[in-house]
Amino acid sequence: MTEKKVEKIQENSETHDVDHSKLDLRGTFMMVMFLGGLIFVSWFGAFILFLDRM
Amino acid sequence: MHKFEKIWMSVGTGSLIIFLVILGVSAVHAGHTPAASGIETINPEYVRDDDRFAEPGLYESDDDEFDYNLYFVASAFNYEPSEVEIPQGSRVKVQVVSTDVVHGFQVVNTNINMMVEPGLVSTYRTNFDNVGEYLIVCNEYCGVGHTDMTSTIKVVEGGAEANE
Repeated sequence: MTEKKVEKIQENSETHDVDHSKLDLRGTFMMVMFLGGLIFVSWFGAFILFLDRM
Repeated sequence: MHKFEKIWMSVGTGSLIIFLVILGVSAVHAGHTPAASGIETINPEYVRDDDRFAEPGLYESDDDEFDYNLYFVASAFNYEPSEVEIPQGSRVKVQVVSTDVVHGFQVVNTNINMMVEPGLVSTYRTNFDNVGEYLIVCNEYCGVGHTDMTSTIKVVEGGAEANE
């Protein structure tokens, strides 16, 4: 019972790794970069406003 | 780990490092500190016994670092003085106290924005380089007259003989 189960778990784990690297994350990537860019621009906007009012 | 995950994690970590470095340089090298930092205490019931706040307003400073000391007393629901003129280009130490509850002291379109808590002297060091009229508003809700609690700073060219 145990050997078979362990093999199956290992097999699943390997399959998962393979699947993960093949995931199509282009949409996620674009959205993450878009949000990151928004945060980046907002941060510098506030900082420049602060410096301008010094 | 997926290639894209590596990229966005690197970009995120890099951005965080950039922000922290800028903040660190700004705080340590340029001396930018949070508004009203430092603690000087005063008994709110005896504010008027303090020479600075007996007749608040603009006074020439003895300190070489500043041209003027600007004293304000905040109370429900006004600031004293209600209007003050400051010569352009002055280096000013602003000190504000409250005689009753928590008030705010925000000079619109500048970085001056402090909480004014009873028992504390809130201090801000600044330069008034641009001529204009600056509205001071209370931004901490202090009661029914909160919205009417305002004062004005007029930055004018030339001398400050009009200040009393």
